[in-house]
Amino acid sequence: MYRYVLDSREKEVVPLEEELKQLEAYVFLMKIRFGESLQIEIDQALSQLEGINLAPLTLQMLVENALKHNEASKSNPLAIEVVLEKEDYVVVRNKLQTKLNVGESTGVGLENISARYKFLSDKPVLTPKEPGFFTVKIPLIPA
Amino acid sequence: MRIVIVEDEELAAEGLIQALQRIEKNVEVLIVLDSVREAVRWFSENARPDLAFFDIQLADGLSFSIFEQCAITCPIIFTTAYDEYALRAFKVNSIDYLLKTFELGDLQKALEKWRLLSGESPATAPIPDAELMRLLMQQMSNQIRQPTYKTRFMVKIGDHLHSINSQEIDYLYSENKIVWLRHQNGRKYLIDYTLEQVEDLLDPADFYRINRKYIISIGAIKSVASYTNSRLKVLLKEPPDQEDVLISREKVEAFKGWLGR
Repeated sequence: MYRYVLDSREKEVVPLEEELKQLEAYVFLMKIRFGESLQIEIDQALSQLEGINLAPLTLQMLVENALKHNEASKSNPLAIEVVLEKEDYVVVRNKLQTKLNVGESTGVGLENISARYKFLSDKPVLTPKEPGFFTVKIPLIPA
Repeated sequence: MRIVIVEDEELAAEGLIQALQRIEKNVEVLIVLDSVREAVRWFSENARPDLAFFDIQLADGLSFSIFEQCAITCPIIFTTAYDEYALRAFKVNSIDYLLKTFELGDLQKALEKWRLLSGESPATAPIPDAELMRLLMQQMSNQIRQPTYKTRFMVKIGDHLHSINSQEIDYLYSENKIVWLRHQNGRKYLIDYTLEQVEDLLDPADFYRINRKYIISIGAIKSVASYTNSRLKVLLKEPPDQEDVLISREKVEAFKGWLGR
């Protein structure tokens, strides 16, 4: 995993397939840590897509963010979904159950992702407001 | 002994239980609680256990808020991955703290201490004070929120390296793409940062980027005067050579805010 972080850091984009692999490895580790308190679903349709790129570590960062800011406990498991939307966005959505005393969000992670996509895509990163959820939509970049 | 564990990571809780069972013959773990909410509910509804282990980061917040919401009357051992510095304060108010990942021996020592303190009568064991916990929580959430700022700069003078405390800086300025640090002693030193980098590294409470060329320390300002074109002119205690230090019109309001913060 760390190897991927180092290797991909220098690249502008990476194939979706590799991003998914990295996300799965990350989720595997987080499942060990959080057990049933973390419920994460990754849309199978994503792995069917070909010729799509993403900025490196986009998906992992978004899941990290969700875990950082939200409660993930047995009585209140955190549900995260990573889904394909209309073949042009990958959507990371989690139930909003904000942790106390995490401190105000610095916005660095998400800001960084948005800034990178400004260069990579003519479509912006979107964060539509949905009550009870936190949603980030990442435009898919044709390879 | 009846024990309660407040811990949000299952593996950590399991590890602790196993370690306890290896050390103690009759350990009864009453419950493992993984959130502030659950802990508050449990402690309000149940009789006090003999001892509780508290992790600091829980699924829904910091465990200190438990003390705010209900009275904890049993002795506590904190278990946490926080560095020692932040934890010294706990010692006064709890039996002990264990830094993850701890050795069996550390746990053993903590338990011995608990036994010593509560051996004669359970009432003699130190019990966390809600007010102190509130302060600790404030401190820790500030720590989480506040980035740490650069406290020293390394400068080279000839073959020698020197360290300059950030507090001793009057101002920093760039000249022909070179960044100079002006020390309170009136000397200037070359540093290997851009002004943009320095701006991020220094505490914005003490330092301000007044224009493209200067970052000044609050302590270096003698006075500020109005200047043409709604600008401000800063009079520094140790002014640079032959140059007015000006604050551009756009920055005036923000600068005034900083002066009075």
